[in-house]
Amino acid sequence: MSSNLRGKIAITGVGTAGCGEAPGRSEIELLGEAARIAVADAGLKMSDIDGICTANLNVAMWPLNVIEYLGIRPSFIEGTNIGGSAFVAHLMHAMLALDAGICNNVLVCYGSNQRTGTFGRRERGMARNSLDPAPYEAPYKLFNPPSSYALIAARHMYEFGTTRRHLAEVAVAARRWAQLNPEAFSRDPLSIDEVLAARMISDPFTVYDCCLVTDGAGAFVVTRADRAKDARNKPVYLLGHGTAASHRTISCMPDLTVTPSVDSGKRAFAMAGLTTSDIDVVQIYDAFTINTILALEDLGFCKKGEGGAFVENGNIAPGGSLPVNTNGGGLSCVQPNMYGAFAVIEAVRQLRGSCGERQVQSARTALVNGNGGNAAASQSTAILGTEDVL
Amino acid sequence: MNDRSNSLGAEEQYFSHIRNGSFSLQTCDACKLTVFPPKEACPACLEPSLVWTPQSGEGTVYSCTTVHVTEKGKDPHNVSLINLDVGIRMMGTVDNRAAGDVRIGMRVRARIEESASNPRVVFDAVDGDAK
Repeated sequence: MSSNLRGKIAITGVGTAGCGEAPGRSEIELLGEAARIAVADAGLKMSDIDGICTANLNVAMWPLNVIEYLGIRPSFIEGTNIGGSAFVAHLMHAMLALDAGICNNVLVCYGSNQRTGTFGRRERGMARNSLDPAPYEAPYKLFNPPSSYALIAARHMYEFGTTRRHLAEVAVAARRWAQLNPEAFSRDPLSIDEVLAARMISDPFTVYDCCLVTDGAGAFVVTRADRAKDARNKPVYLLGHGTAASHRTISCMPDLTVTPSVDSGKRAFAMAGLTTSDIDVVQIYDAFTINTILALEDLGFCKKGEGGAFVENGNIAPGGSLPVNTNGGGLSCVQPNMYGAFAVIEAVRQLRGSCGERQVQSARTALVNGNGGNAAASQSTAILGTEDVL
Repeated sequence: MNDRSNSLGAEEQYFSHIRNGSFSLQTCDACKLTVFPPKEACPACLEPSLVWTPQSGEGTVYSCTTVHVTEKGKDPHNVSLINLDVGIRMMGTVDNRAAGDVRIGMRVRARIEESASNPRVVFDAVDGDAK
């Protein structure tokens, strides 16, 4: 892949709002607050935003809702929705538009009130199942998304000897990071034994193997590198990117133990001209504990089948060899149905050095791996870096 | 193409067979591939020459989970992905074993579960594991 886009764009502003519980506030209001914070953080006015990337799981023409609410008139409008990885995937689309000169400042944004909204997660799930039925799966009454990922985990355990304890290690590592993050939703101590003994959702997952269900909004501003130099904050450059997808339903995932991250990661590393050993901090879309293990394998941080052993003994927790999901991830920090934007935002904060107690010392490179679509269906990988690694 | 039954889509035809008590899959007349999920043409050779073929439905459990979040009053149930010997994978449930006793590698055979509202393909474990 051509790497002439390496370092061409930078993230200059980030913002979050309503993370956790935001009762009485609509999705667009939460998004609006995060967007306003991100735009101000980039040192811009909302009227400077001339590109928009956004997605929502309930509203078919969501970019229009956002454009109207924010009062912007963008020349680049992007609404790709491939599940929660969409906001990582949007980085590539923003990069192409910015590099082509279609626009100057792209706002990537998301907001959800799935936890406290009166039309809540259950109602939304039922409505979506009607509009987007899976006719060959629905008769078997999966509890999705957990059941689809449970099928993946069960197969991974069968093929590679991965254990429920390995899965629990991922949940505990996320919680230990969350305990260092005052913005995280779940910060109580959590042990491996507690994960194993918790209420079973879809075997082998207990409730602690499953991500949180929170409200929250996240937004970030992307601009061309030449314009980023004047930004208020240290720009975080996009060094490499790749997106891949292969299916929609778990029945049609070619190999349950291999995600499309194999392809997205390869493309991202090739564009960045980096390898896994160059990465200082990793943000993985951890919808379920197995996601972290799959991504570490498929991105090449360890061999296929060795992800369970890799996460043992706190290896991805604070003090371990590879800092993964330093905000606490979707398992313990925030998960408003689509998490991708929050993984990007945490990577930016780490590369700015603004993470306080959970800061990874002198982090210069970060990898973000988005996951989407109920069954590890879409994967989008972004490699970010500070000016030093341009 | 005035025959209305011939104009039904592949999905509707698949479920129509099930309602009539037959587990049938499309096979390609041109390249002999068995196709699932149902398509309007063969995904391998692109020939629109798919023929509905009754299946004995023998296969192996590829993965399985016990779903504990169920309708009120219902016991946890099994959901499995089955690799059929004819070369396709489909979702199903292993019906003649307790949910917790279903294992990857179990040999299974398909059967139509009669139901007034929602007849479906289910699987029964048969003796012997996959070789």
